[in-house]
Amino acid sequence: MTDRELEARLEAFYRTEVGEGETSPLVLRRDVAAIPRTIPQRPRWFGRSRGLTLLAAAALLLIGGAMGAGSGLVKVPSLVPPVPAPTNPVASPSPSSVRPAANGWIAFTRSGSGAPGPNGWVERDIYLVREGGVARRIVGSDAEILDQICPVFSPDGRRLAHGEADGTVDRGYQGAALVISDIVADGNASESRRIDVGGTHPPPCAAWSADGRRIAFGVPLTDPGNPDRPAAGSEVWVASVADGHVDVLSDLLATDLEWSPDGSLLAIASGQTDLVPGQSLRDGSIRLYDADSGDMRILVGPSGVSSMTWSPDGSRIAYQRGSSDGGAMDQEIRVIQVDGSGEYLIDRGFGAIYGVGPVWSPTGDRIVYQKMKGGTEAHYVLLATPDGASKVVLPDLRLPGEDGSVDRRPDSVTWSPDGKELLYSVWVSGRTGRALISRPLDAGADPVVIQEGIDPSGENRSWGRLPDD
Amino acid sequence: MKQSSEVVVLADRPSLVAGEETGRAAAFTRLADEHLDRAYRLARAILREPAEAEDATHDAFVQAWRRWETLRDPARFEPWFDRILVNTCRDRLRAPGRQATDISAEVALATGDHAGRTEDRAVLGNAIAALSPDHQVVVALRFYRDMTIDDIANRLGIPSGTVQSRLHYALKRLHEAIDAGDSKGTQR
Repeated sequence: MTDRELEARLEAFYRTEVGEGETSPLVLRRDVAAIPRTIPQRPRWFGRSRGLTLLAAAALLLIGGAMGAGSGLVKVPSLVPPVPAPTNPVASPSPSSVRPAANGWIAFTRSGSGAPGPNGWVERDIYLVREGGVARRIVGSDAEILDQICPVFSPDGRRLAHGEADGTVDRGYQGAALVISDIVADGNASESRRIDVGGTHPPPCAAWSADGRRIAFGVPLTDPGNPDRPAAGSEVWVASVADGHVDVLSDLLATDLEWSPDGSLLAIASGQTDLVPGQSLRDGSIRLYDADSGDMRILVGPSGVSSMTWSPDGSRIAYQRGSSDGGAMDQEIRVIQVDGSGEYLIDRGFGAIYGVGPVWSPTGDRIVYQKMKGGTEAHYVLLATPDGASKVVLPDLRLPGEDGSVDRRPDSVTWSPDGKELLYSVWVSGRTGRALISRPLDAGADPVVIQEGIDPSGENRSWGRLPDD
Repeated sequence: MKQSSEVVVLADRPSLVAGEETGRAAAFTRLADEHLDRAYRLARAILREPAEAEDATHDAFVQAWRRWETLRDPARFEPWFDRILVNTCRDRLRAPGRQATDISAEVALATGDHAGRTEDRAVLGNAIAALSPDHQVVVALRFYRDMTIDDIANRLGIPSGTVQSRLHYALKRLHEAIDAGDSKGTQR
């Protein structure tokens, strides 16, 4: 058989196999039409990137203008040969000083009052709320139409960083910047540092170092509509808060950035799956960047790592990996010693399309994570001991007086600063928006709705404390 | 330094969330409706099982809805969505129980005692099913969708050389499988 004959047979095969006029089953048409009513809109990339909006918006971007603008940027090598494991002084979590009944403040993002874009997106604003209180806008004003997202408290609660840019997700962006504001106890904010990102990047989402001296965020140059595109050119920026100096780590398409508890190391989960050798850096590895020396080493090689969390003593990192983007039952939670001396499995064989991956408790004794209930959109929330010996599935979230007919599904879960409560972002099938709900872990204590109507996309909350709290 | 402005109480402001999501939902529903049949047929070509194709198409539209904000230009919906669909189909092909197997026995069976179009389809179908998921996708896009190498490369976000290579090895394997089947059929 000649090549041409084979090709002709293949064409005939597909013509017979799939009729030209074959239509989709009616039930499929009905189910697809119901998707906007039943499925919350939450891009996977946002959800998994605790500190980042790396793949969620505008792309194929140039940063040349920003880099040449005298902003003090310095290029450092993307990957320096491995160096001996840095010493990680054991740092016990500082005891919480917050009142048990009101575990600090929560900054979150909510849709603003600007005109919707072509696909309905509007600019977003940043608010502050605490349990039992009324949410207040603390950054910006209604006079501007900046998209402001990803508020994150500095560890001492005295500053709040957020990303902002002119535009919306569907209109595109101009003039993105990371903005750091000083916060005072009455909830007002005054800008103290601005790091211009430039180009047409989306607003950045940052992660503070534990000592508050540095802040890191991703700058994506790849195309989110083309997620298999090589990541070369995407970057991680590490900025000094004191003087705004930025070190740029090139060729890193980070999906998560997490600082070690002592502030010396930045763990970078870079990439996803579908590695094309020589073509893509989206390999899902964990790199450790030493912010003082500039050295970088690989802690976990390419294995589909997407998100991670440090233990409070800095000795271990728990991470989530899988060959799919979470839709298949191939996700794993693993814990690795940062000195490379060992690794072990916490959980495996589950899907997770929501959540931000594992989050280590501030007290160090538990790790919270989510996994799909079967193949459904609903997720379990689990608490595991860091050695993996014990795993507990938390009962579904139910508010006082509810009979269980309202299915409040976890979207993302994180810890309160004192480790005594979990902060859920939840959605209800068929309803818009999200709610922030605090769930005390003490037996008998009821969950409390802190805020309804928060923004359904992006990194939308940071639980911290104001300085005088 | 710019000072933060007045405190705004959320309760005083009308919610925009509902209207915002309505606009998005309308745009999604319209595009999904337009592209549903074509998407389903591509899933059928790649996965062949109607039920699998139905599930994959639905999953792909769910993914598309979740990633809706990454679609900056609705005119680019088809290539944007095709990639999601193809990746969904490829994940299904990779799922346990759908791995490639040795098909020589099936080829022999299919070609041994029958003649005509039916066994030709069976031979080809089995031979295609034995290809790797990446190869199956490229073959379907090339011979079902009739796409050029460059178009496939653009659609998948991989270099043209990679498409060419995948296609070359896929056709080579198909040749071998079909020739083996044909020769056994001739001997009988």
